[in-house]
Amino acid sequence: MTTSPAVVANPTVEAREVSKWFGQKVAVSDVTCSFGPGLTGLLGPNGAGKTTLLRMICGLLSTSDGSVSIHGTDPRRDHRVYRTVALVPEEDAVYGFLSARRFVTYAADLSGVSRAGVDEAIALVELISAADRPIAEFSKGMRQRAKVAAALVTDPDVLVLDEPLNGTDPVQRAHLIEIFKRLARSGKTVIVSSHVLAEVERMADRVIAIVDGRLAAAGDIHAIRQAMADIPYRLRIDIEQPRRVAARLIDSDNVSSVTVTGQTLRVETSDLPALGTELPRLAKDLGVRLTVFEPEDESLESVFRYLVRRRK
Amino acid sequence: MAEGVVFDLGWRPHEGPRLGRAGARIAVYKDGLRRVLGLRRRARRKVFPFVMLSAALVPGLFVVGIGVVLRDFGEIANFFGHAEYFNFTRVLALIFIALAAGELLVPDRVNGTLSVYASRPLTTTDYVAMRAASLATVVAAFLWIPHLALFLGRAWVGGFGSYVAANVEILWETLIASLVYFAAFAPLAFLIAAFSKRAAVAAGLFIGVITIGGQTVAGLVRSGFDVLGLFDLSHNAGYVKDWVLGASSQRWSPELAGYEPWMSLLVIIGVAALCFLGVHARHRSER
Repeated sequence: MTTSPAVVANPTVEAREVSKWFGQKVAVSDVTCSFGPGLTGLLGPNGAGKTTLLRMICGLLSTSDGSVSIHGTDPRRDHRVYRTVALVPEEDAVYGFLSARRFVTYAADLSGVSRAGVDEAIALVELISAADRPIAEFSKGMRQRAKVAAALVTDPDVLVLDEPLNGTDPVQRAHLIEIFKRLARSGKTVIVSSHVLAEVERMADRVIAIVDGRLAAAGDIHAIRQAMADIPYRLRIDIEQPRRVAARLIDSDNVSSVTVTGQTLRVETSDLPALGTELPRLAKDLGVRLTVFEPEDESLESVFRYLVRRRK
Repeated sequence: MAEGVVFDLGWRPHEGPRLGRAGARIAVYKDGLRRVLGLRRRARRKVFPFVMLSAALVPGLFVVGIGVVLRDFGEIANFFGHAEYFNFTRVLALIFIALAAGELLVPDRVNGTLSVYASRPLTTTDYVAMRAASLATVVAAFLWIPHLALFLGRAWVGGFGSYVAANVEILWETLIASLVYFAAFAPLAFLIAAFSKRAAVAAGLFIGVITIGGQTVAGLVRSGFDVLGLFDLSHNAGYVKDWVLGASSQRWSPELAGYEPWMSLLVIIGVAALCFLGVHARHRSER
């Protein structure tokens, strides 16, 4: 039996054939995916349906079709699931007139947990020096961190973060990413949405990609790339006498295009393993030295670019 | 040699109990109280609620002062009894509820903070009910404390033990009358606030509906349109209040139209229920 990479073996959060439409506009269409302990990146361009999917997962929005569950329970039917779920929404869901400390304390009270962890949560997001200032005076990045602290104080099993790194500076971003990774390592289910590819690539081992409201790809980023057999791989090859090598490669059935730039060849191939066998043999025949042989498009950015282009 | 230590600043999991829905409801209730009274806000936010509370209390304290000085409440009681006092404080209650309802509901919806509540062990009903409960507490106290002051002043002059024994029912009667005013005004104020983007606009609209609507109904009733007598929420509340207190402080529109006080009470309950459903539906759709 084969299982889709979009689903995990022991899910804590599941979306089954979920769709959501607002009048004529279809925001999410027939998405089935699940999330388990660890960090999963929910990736998609702006307007792809990530926020809608997350809001359905958290029960803030009803599904037009399909179902969602957290720990096997529909969050819109049983509010008890929220005892162990925390959401950091994309919008500025904070009270400007409250200080960060009061806001995080209120979050602890609303979730019925002890206030003992308030200062710790604020310290963890490095807001302790501004903890008693009104949130209205905060920068965007500080407000984001206040929201994250308000989620962390509840010590959730499932942490859903919608674009949590928006407005944060690079140092804060790296720090927050480290927090999310640490929570994931401790067995929490952490779902982070982002339209910034580099962020997702840095923090998530597993990716769910949404494009135009539909599930575009899921799984480990390298596995996703390998599954896209119809799109040729782009390779960078650094080799002596590149023009001689290029002339031989262009005759190969495994190569669809070759570009020469200085000592570097850029080759497109639909059969990477075959080329991996053929090229060293060719180098030996020609008596030239091969120094670099690496895929150029296994980054999340290039995979994502392919996914978006394919949808269009 | 200097010694050093590196502390683990890592996250420590919560190990205590999770109070769940009860804890969340209490938190929303307390937050509502703070918001209505402007607590933990800048000083100017406290001015309005405490000026209103003072304005409601001062006449009572004045009457108590005169009664205590004269050692007699007889004449004053006829002129400024509990039922008449409500006719004065209801105006303050109307303004207070108008602004407090907006302050309780509008910022949450407009600032997107409803998701703070929607992702907690809390239903939409809990949220709306706890917001209403916090306003009810403040309004009931606002309307009732002056009566408590009057009661204690009279008890002091009239012989404490005997006066309390003979008149203790006035305490719960005035408390019920206070809640009647809350039930008559607050649901409509909440409903308007639930569909408004600005608290001040909601307050103005609510006061306009109650005052202009009330005047219109009163005029129509006087012109013979008796069937409209139950459409004046303010007079319905006054009519029921007099019924509860066993008084007749004014001729109310429903009374002039020939309706019984319990009919006015049913209208208050019915309007409150409809408004609650409206507010609930609005907040459920806005989660």
